[in-house]
Amino acid sequence: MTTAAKVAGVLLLAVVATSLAAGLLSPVSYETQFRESPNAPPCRQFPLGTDELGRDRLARLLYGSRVSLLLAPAAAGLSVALSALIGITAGYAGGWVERATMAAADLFVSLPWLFLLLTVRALIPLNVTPWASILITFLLLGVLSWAPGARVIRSGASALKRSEFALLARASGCPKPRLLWKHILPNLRPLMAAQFWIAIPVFILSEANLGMLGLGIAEPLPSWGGLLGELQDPGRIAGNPALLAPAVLLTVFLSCFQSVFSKEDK
Amino acid sequence: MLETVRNDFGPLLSVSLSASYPDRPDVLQGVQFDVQPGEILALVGQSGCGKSTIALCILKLLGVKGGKARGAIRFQGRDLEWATEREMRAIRGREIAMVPQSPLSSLNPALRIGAQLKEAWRAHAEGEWEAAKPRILQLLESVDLPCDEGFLRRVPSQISVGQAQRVLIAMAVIHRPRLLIADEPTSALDLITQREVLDLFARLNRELNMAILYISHDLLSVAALCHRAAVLERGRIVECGGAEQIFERPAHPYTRRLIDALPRVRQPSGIGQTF
Repeated sequence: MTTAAKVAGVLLLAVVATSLAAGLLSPVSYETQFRESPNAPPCRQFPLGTDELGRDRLARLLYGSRVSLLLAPAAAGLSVALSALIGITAGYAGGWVERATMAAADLFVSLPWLFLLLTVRALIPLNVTPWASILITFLLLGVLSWAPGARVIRSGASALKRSEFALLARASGCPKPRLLWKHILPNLRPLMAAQFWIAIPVFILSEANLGMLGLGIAEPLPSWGGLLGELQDPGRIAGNPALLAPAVLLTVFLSCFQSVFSKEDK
Repeated sequence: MLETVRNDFGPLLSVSLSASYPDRPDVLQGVQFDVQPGEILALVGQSGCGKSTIALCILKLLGVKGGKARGAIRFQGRDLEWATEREMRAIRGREIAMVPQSPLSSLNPALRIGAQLKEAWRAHAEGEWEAAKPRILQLLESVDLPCDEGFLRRVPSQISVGQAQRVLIAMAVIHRPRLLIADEPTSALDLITQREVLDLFARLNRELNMAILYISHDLLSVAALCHRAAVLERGRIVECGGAEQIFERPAHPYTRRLIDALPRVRQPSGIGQTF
């Protein structure tokens, strides 16, 4: 691991640890309103200032990081589980099941991801509770992203099914479910892990996109996407550069993530 | 120590087969042969003549490679053509076992050696693995493998090709099958390991009275190990008889060509001598 990757790893850990310890680090809650000081500039009490409802931006950034950083891996886990289920079924069954599944996957992959995400989200009611909005975002990200992973895993499962060791397992009397569980699945684990790590930054960005457009996590719960929504008015940035904090944090996090995991892959 | 037991009358296996793949029709054309209990029969022929297809047909696994078989396979007097997948699963590994051609690619790279042996054992046995372990370690010792826990914890990439082949042999004989199909089991091995593996097959045949269908293109190993040999050319058996007779008095021109193709030691006088 290079020095740059090590530094990136330390920064990543710091962001994750800080967001997990949001309750300890921030004296106030993300929803506490200081009505006497709305839109306050950075000061000793509010290092990143306050928003128009008088809520501490630092507290919202810390709690928002926690939401985004927990949501993305959870959705990536759901996505990989779904991809594995569909990909392994298709690869193992073969024949028309495989052809039909891969045709559906090709169709999904050919649709623009963000457009699909926004369209489906727009079809679901927006006036839901914050926790329901987290669940909707989690399900949308996890379910709509099954296709690329399923194609990769199907290809791996199909090759493993035809492998010499799978043939020998059949010749030894191994039942088909056990063949799948003990011989195919353990060899697909690296592929599934790669799909998981690839999905995390994609989902962080997708959540940010949804949030910026008001289609993500509902208020008052903060997330990186929701906090980036404040950047829609460029005139305010000049007056308060602290508004850029979520964008900077997002950029730093994704850069560090890519740096650490692309180096790991090599 | 391996135990000896069984003796039967009549052929253990009778085969009368034709087979084809989508891109290779008539890969086997009316192949007929018998294997007697305790006998080592060689199936000899060039690469691609259909030898391995016969192995898959006997286990009813040709479909895995996309092929189709027609004809009859009788094992211990029972027609396998009508056996269900469930019945075949009970036969595979317990009554008929296979030792494949490529030792390292036939072991699951993600599983430790102990886990692979456990899977082979578990396919036809009930009860606690820990209770069966001493017998498995004894089996490893009988096939000249280290019989310690450290060896069981290794993964296939940490053992040699010869050791991998022995692990596969141990997995194949774990349930003491009546018939062992050895599909080119020595082709990936060096000469010394080849010899050791051939000795091991001979010992298994002697001590377990296990019939062996020895599929090979290596005539020297066939001569060293087998009682009878059937010569396969383009999906047909062209000659079948005692191993000695085949090597000393080959009747078919193809058999003569195979024997003439054996490597010869160059003598100082320039006259070649067959190994």
